[in-house]
Amino acid sequence: MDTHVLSRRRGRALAVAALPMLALLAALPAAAQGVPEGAQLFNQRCASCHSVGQGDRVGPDLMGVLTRREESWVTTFLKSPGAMIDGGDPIANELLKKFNGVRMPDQQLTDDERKGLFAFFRDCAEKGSCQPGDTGPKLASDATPEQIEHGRQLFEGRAALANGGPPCIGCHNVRDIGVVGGGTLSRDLTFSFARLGERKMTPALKDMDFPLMKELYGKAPLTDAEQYEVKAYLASVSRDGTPPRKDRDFFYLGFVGMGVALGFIGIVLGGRGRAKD
Amino acid sequence: MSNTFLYDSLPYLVLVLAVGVPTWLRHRERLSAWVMRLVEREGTGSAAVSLVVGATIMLLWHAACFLLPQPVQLFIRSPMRLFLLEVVGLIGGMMLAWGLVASITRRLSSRDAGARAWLPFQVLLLAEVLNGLVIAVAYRWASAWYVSVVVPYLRSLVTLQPDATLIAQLPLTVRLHLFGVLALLLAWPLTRWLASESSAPGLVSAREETAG
Repeated sequence: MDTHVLSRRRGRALAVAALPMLALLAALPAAAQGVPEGAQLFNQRCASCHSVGQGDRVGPDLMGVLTRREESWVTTFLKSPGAMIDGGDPIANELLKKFNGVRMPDQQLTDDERKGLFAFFRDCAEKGSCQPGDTGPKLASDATPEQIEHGRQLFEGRAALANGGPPCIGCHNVRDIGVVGGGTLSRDLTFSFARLGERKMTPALKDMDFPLMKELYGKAPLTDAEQYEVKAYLASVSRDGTPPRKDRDFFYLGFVGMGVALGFIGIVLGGRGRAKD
Repeated sequence: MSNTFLYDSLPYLVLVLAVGVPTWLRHRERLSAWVMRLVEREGTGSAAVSLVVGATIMLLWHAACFLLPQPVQLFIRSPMRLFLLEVVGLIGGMMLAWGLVASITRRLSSRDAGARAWLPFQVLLLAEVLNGLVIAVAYRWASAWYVSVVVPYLRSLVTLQPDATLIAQLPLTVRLHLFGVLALLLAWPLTRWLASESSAPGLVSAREETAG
């Protein structure tokens, strides 16, 4: 009887001990499943500013980020770094100070994307290093300063596009471009790279599948080199997550200019002018 | 002298001189009479000068983009020159708007039926100018996209092969600006006829009627 009770108790204890193991075993394939997607997402959205194990770049090296920080903190930070900085979060502000005031743009990630990214970070931390596969188009983060500068010149129109397409500045604005900014007929592209990432930015510049642009660049597409340089320039611009200033300088300048012109006319007329009653 | 100038620009320069100079010589008296009438009507105050200067800038700005799109594109390759062109256009538009407001105000208090006949046209023109100013500010760097988007449509109209693919995708404000031009083109001959009818000899003016 005692032996029977004992063996039943032992069996129950074994079952209780085995439950976490089983749960872990069940979780392992799920985590592993997210790793390739996370690696791909990292390449597309993060690699232009971060590395995993290759040292700091524009932003910090993300090796072991989930052991350094709470997962909930990283999740909140990913959603809106700016809100955390402005809210006075000490770690976020310390990072801002360390990385020369460069604000990371908000990342709109689905729960699955975030889980995949975290699985990738954990996988890298376990391996001790991580070199995300470099399949696909050349990364914007690999661009030289000269290529980024040429991308800016192409955007501004100072360098002509090889196939004669109009420069981007006519319709698009980007932070710190031109004299008082770029055009406002179409979207502001300051955070376009952060929004689209490598995955969508490369085909966007290749196909130009947007209203107006499709027709404008259909017969004058950007060359491969131009696509890469403009992408690299937009990537470099999107690294600063600070919202661009909404300027009205041009409007006020018009009034000032009109005042100057009328003043000049008044001086030239010198009282000789005669307003009609 | 570069081949570009010899083969691309010289023919147009010669054409302008061959057509423009004789035309000016033939019509210079009419032109000076028109200027005299304008001075008589609008005066020589700063509002009148603003009207003329603003109208001249606006005409030149639109005509240059329409007639010389490639030189304009070359000119605005520098962001500073693009900015200057836009500022000049904006100031010109503001001066024209101010001149028109002053002229409309004066006509409103005028008893001359011929002068008052131009009021609807001037109000329509003012609306068009204000719409242009909104475009210049809200959809700035119009000289850049006007050359690439609107000029091809205007040229397709001239060559009798209308192609509205590009302009159909522009914001409503910009499309209204184009329709405003059509309205002005329709209103111009009608207003001239009305003005000439109103000021035709034989009609008794309000002052004469009172005196009689």
